[in-house]
Amino acid sequence: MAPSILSSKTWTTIEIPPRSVTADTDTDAKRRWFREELGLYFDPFALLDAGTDPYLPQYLVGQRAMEQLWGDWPSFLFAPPGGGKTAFRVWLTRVCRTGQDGRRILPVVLAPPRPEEPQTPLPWERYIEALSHAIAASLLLDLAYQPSSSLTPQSFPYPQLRPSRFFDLSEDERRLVRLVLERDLPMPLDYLLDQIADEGSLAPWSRTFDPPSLGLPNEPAAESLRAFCKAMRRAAPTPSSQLPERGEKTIQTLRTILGYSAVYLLVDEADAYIQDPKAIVRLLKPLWAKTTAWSRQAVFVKYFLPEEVRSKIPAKMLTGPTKCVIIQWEPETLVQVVRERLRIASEGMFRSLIAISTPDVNEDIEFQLARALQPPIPREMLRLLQRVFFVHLQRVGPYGRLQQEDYAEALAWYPGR
Amino acid sequence: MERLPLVYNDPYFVDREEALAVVLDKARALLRGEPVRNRTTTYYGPRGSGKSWLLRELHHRLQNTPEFQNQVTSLFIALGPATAGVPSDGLHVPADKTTEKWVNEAADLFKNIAQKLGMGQPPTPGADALATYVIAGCRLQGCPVVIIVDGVDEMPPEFLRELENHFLAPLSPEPYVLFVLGGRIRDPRKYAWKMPELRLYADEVWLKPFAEEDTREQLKRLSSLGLSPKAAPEVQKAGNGYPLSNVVLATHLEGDPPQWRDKGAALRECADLLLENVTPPLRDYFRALCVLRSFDEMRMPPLLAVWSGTPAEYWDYQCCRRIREDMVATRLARWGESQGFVMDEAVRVVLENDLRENEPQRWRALHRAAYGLFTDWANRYPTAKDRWMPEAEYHQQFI
Repeated sequence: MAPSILSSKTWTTIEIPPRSVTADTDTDAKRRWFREELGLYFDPFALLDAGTDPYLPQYLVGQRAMEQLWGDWPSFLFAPPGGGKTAFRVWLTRVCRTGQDGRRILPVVLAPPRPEEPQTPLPWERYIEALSHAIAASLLLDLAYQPSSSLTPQSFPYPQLRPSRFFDLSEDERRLVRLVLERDLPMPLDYLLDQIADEGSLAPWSRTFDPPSLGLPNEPAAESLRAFCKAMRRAAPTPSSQLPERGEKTIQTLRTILGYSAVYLLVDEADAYIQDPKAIVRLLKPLWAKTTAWSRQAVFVKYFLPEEVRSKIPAKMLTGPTKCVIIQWEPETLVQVVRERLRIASEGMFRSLIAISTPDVNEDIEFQLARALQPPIPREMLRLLQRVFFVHLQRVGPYGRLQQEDYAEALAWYPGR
Repeated sequence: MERLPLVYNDPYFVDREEALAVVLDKARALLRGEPVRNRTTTYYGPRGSGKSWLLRELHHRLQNTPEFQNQVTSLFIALGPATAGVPSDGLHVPADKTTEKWVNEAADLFKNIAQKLGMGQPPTPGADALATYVIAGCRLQGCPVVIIVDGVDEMPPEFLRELENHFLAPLSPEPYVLFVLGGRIRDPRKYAWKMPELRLYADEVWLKPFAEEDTREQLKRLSSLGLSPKAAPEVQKAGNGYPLSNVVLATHLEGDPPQWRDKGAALRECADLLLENVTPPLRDYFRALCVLRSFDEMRMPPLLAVWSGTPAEYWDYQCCRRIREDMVATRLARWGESQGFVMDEAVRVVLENDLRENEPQRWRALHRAAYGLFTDWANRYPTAKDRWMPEAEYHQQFI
């Protein structure tokens, strides 16, 4: 299955190949080599884009920064491109979905609208459109995840402990939710319901909306999902149903009827289409203007931005209740990135490149690689490791362990690529 | 062997106060209304290091000491053989089922947990809905809940997947629930914990061997069984201070000052006990490799060749890989930081001492083979000379 991404403008699913230098050799022979000789059940270094990596939550590192993001306050996280912004966003989305600290928070991942002309500000309507799509997609996933359909008042007589989700809503409230979804989802609701009812899992939506959300704990069983789809289809709107305005009004309505204590608006991929920090600032300004007012309504904006933007942000935005996190990668943490990926790919068998290298490789090889990185960020580590495997495949083929020559050649290639 | 107190008995419990405090301090913080970030605590240690005893002691203290009694709910779940026994109010899932039964087995466990938490008899919904009952059950306690799971690495991956997905991960965000897990290695056999909830918010405690004074205290408390605290120095030297080995070895010392009746027999008995769940061909591989401080497929052939009297070429890469995987599957060997796979020190030390005492020529031949291998590598691979020369020097002292 090739990874998919969403274009924030069109909201259609497009297929892209993994951005990997070893992609052309990703054959059965390579897979067999990985599995049978190296003991790796998948290539943990294949995907450079965290947003497309379904295994990402399993090998996240850097939890100290996460503490600054989890809470009812606006926050800014700064990191260079490839420096883990999306990984931290994925983590925050996940803890919201799983109800960290027993809280109920709706995570909304917002990719700012694509500017047509970097010098020209976009109209607010474009932001509202992107926001509405993002809210609807997140809401649908949240409602389907743990729909608690099998918990009837008879079998579960603890109303205060029921997970307040779609099945606990009145008929009118269900209709209203359905109306919001029909209006704001980027694709037809019934089509999306068919997808999960057919597959019996949330995987089709995860693949479409947010690949790293695959494998949430305790996902509903197939029959629970089908019951949810059936109930959602039955909630046909009546002509009298009143729709709240898109954006803020919709958020507040949903918060009230579904009992979310807060909404976290996670603004990521502002640098997906433009690299100029001034243009990024221009793109984000309309959202900054709303950040404080939204906080008062329990909508907390969490920005995940490239490091170069930091100096362009007005100081008052970064002070007060706002928390600011700057991600800096040390060799030790970059080595941890490699080791955690190997741990998961080997199903816990080992956690070092030494386990798949010949005896001519010194045991500090991960540190040697980490110290060579320019800049020192996880994406560069992945690129360098992809090169190591590429060199081995070119020199030797899909056989044997990685050799000192593979590392040496990759390191020699790296700075002058 | 029957007279050895393998089943937990609180008067015999020694040391480990520091390890216990990791969880007890978290329970105290919750009772004071303070938030606890790392709500999962995992205890690791080799066979015979006292993990199960420690978890039983923890459960005992949470239920019987005034500061926790009736203010904390403690739930004990024993997985696998449960050699330290199961508390009368605990739950037990043995590891002797057929593969296809594990999903149902896990669902039954969750249902029993919900009942223990006062949720009555849940209907028979899927594991996804049972998690809701368990979460509700924890919330209804109105006090901190400590869930102790012993032997997580004793179970097959199919069960662990259910346990993690439908029990540990959904409960882990609950602010008043503490998890305490016990196992020999960080990642159970053929299964890596996947949920960040269990990895990022966990404290890991590795149980070290007893110091000599703790061994002395342990033997003192067992003096009614004829063990002498004066045996501590000899026992410590032969077994490295792991509680299980201490007891087995001490039964072979007598007199004042204590003398070995038959040191070779003592070490062989201890080695056999530590390897009791390992099948015969694999036992030989453990013995053959016990002189190495770390190993992998490329270091194994010369030693296996010496042990079995076959040419080194007989032990090819794939063959060694299968052996290595089987050894890791016993959880008596694991990946050890960055140098390679390592045998549990509690096992390796006893196996090597057994070999040195009972088969000294073979023991020396194994060290000679290792010395030859590492000297060759140190000379042949200048890029890794710093890695292999210390290994060669280590083995040289024994030949």
